[in-house]
Amino acid sequence: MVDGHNAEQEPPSLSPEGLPPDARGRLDTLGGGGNGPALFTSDLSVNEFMLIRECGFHPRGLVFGSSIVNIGVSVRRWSKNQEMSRYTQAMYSARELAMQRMETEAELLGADGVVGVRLDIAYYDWGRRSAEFIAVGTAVSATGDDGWKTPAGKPFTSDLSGQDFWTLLQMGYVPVGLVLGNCVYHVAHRSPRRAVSQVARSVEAPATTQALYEARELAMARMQQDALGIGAEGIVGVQLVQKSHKLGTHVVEFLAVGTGVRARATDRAIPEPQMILTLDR
Amino acid sequence: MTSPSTGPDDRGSGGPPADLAARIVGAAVPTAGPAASSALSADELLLVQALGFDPLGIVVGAAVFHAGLVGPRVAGTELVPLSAALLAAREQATARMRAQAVQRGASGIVGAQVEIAAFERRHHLARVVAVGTAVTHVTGPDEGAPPGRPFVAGLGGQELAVLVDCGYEPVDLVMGVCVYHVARQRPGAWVRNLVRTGELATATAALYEAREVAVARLQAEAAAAGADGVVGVSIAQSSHAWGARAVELSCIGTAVRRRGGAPPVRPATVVSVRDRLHASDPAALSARVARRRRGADR
Repeated sequence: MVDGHNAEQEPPSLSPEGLPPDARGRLDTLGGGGNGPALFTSDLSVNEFMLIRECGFHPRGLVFGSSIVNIGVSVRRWSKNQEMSRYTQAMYSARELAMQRMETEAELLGADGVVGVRLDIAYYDWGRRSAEFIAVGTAVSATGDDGWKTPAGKPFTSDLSGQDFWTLLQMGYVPVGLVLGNCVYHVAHRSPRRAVSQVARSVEAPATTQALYEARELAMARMQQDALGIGAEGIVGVQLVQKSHKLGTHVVEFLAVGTGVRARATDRAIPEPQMILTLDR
Repeated sequence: MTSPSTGPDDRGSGGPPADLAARIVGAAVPTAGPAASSALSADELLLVQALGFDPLGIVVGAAVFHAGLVGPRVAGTELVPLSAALLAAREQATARMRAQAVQRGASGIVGAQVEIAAFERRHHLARVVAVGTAVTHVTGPDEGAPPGRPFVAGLGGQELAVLVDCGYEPVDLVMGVCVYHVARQRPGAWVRNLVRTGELATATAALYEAREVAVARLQAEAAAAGADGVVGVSIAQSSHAWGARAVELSCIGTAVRRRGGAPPVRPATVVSVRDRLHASDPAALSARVARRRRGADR
């Protein structure tokens, strides 16, 4: 089963479009090569698989992209609230690279879009100051009519589950792309004097409140900017997550992720929902 | 996951593999009676029976593997013997589970799970356990499957029912493994990276490649099994032994085949009359139930 595909050889390097050597071969076996019947792979659950097929799509293959970023040291002022732009930039571009590579794989498959995209982060013991950003999703193609790609002619991407994707399509909307914005922020320490004077008091820490508030706002604003840039009319399923990335206790990253959508048909109406009482807990 | 209580504790006995296989396959196979055990929940059982299957009992397969020493660590390559050992361990455990099912005259296994149950880092031993519920079709064991080869589905009862509704049938659990050694940075690069922030191209290429190879192997298995596709693929990465730089990428999914003849399923839009909080959080539900009980006592 295991063939020593490149043992005792050069370590692999990424091709100009950012894919490793075996990616093309793997994608070719998914029916792109034209020899043998097409096979699909997907990380969709069976329910999602059923719904994707029901709304006129079929899964093509699991696609992914990855980028490991090295996080060097960066100066921060102990008592100052500030954005750490280098980190913000590094983490944004690592996610972008991972997503671009995933999109490239989807394009090689000739897919119309990618659904159920997950953005994962992995930390490894061998790289204390590095993190791997991974994007995984299932590439899908429309069975019938086209026009599903983004205005830029690329496959759409979306982090919606199969269920949400189905519902969105019923509404006459289509996903355009996964949009994200982030902000890595250094939250100021209290001055020793203030810390001492507040030992016995329960008060708001205005500087900290403001820092977290601002970081969140910046992340959201960037996500909205991203959505405008790809021609989306709105964003659904926004998640705002807070991560600390092993960068110390006073450095946090806020990440806003959602799916930018646009209207495709305005005359669609979903059938009247039916009320059910489920018996399972 | 349940521990393989029906299987022998096969560590430390040192018996020859043939004997081991015979024991694992032959041991503790009760004749299928009216009270067959199954790992299915009540509603899963109902759905599986609605598809025409009857549960025969839980089937288990285990395999303990010793992965030998790997030669000098070549920078950034696959550790082929380790990939082969881990894949073989999983295949072996699945094969033994299947052999138990064949012995009971099953037509398939539902809810199958394969996982590394224990890893003895010091001794380089991996114990892989496969568990599932053997089922038989009312029309006979060979319904839809080649004789002597029951299907294996890593799907629960609900998922199986939906799959059959959309005109597909499960074929087999398919997997792929790739253990990759991530190269060390050169000293110069290490120093530069103390302050530099940016992509590590070599490490990215290594792990990205490893993931591609693992999924490519899964695809090759699915193609060899005559499947039309694979659903529910999950990719896991871990460093079990051999140091942190050897990263193991493994993926597993259920290969499916088109049966055809199924009318298109039309989902209905429903609003579930229950609190969303409770659906996603069993702890909150049990807390609320406990509060109600306390209220009733008062």
